[in-house]
Parts: sequence; C-alpha cells; structure tokens
Amino acid sequence: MSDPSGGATFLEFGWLSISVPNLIMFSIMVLLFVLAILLPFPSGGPDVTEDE
Amino acid sequence: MATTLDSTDTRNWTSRLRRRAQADLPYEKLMPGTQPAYVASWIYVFGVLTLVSLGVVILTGTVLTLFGPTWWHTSSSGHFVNSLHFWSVQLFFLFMIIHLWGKFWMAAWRGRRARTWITGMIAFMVSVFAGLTGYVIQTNFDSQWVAFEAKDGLNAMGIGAFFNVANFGQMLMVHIFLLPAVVGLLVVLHVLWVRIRGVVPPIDADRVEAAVESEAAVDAEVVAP
Repeated sequence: MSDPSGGATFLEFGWLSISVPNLIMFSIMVLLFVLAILLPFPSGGPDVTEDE
Repeated sequence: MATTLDSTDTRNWTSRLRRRAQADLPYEKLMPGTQPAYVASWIYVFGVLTLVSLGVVILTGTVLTLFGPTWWHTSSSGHFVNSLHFWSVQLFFLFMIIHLWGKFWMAAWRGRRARTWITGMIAFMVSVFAGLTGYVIQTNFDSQWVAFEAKDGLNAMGIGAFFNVANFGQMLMVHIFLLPAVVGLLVVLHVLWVRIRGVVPPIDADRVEAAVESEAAVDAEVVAP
C-alpha cells in the first residue's frame, strides 16, 4: 500500500508529467462529464415551462 | 422647490436604473418557478453544484476568520473546519470545471450570452488565485513550498513587485477579503445574466422544435382533416 505521508508517484509521457492522484481526479471528472451527458434525467413534473 | 413622486421621471439615475431592472429582470425571471424542458439534463446541475460548494467555502471561511490563522494548528475543531474549507474548495473547482466543459461544448455564449461566458471565465481565473493565496496562508511546510514556487510565477507575470508571497499579512487579506469580493461580485453578475437571458438551449434546439411542430401539425390534420 502507498504511504499517505509520502510524495506522489509521477507518470511521465514525454512533455507531460502528472501525479497518479491528479490523473485519477482528472479521470473521475471526465467520467462524471460523460455520465452527465448520457444518463437520463428524471422526467419533468409540473415545473416545466410550456414554451420559452 | 416642489418634490415630485412621479414615477415616470427620467432625469435621475435611480428611476432609470429601476425601470431598466424591471424591464430586463422582472421577478418572474429573477426567481422562476419553472424551467424549459431541455434543462432536464444532468449537465445543467453542475452550475448549481458549483454555487453550493462556493457557499460552503464562504461559510467555513467565515468561521475560520473568527478564530484566526493559528486555530487549525492548535485545535482539533479548527483542524476540522479548515479541512471542510479545503475540501469544499476542491469540490468547487471540480464542479466548476465540469460546468465549464459543458458550457464550452454547448457553446453557451449563443443568444447574446457573451457576458455570462466572460464573467464565468474571469471568475474561474480569479478563483485560481484565491486558491493559491489560500494554499500560501496555511502556515505549514506545504504552504512554504507553494510560496517558493508561486513567487516565480508572479514574477514571470510581472506582478511580483505588487504581490509578495512572503508577506503573510498581504496574502491573508487578499485571500479573505479582496479576492472573495471579486469572485462574489462576478458570480452574482453571472447568475443574474443567466436569469436575464435564460438557460442556453441545446445547439439543435431550433431543428428539434421545428420537427416537433411539424409532427403536431400532421397529427392535427389526421384528427381533423
């Protein structure tokens, strides 16, 4: 298991140097964005404007 | 000189501002009870998530101001509130960036919404500096390192002469007053402009609306030819 008090492991891809926690965060954000687009929203109730 | 209570008086800025506000932002638009059907999508939730996390940042920050900048070192409650403040800032940036991605890809500046977009971008950039000053005033070894690196960034931007990361008092006051005031003002303007223009419709909304209307017209002909 990694040491919580230690420095992060960095991944190097040419010019890109990113820590593993940072990469995990970015991946989670991209996943949230994709899910926000794809997941269906609960169908609207009475609070829907008829025309705008 | 007789005073007048004539509400059509155009000669003073108060009357002109009141009429402009009433025209652009009546109460029904300022506090709407309904929303267009296309807003029923999860991507539209990230704006309000950003606002809520900003609210927690401000609330926890207010508690921290009451007890001073050593509280989180000397008290477990202080440590807890400081941690709440830190993590709500992380959530603030997470939600704000996903909100930015959604708004960019749906070209949310359409329909005279340029000011909404611009205030959002500037609020984002100012928030970064608010977060930076927050990191610097932690008064721990992390903040010492952040200050050490940030001085080079500020110098490269040409503002190192005006902002000194080694000046704790300046960093503290910039963090707890100056930048929150700027971010707060920008966020208020941003939300007001969303209310004035309405939530941006999807890019293909016109085509979808036209298709729905022509379907409705065909159905009406079938029912009553």
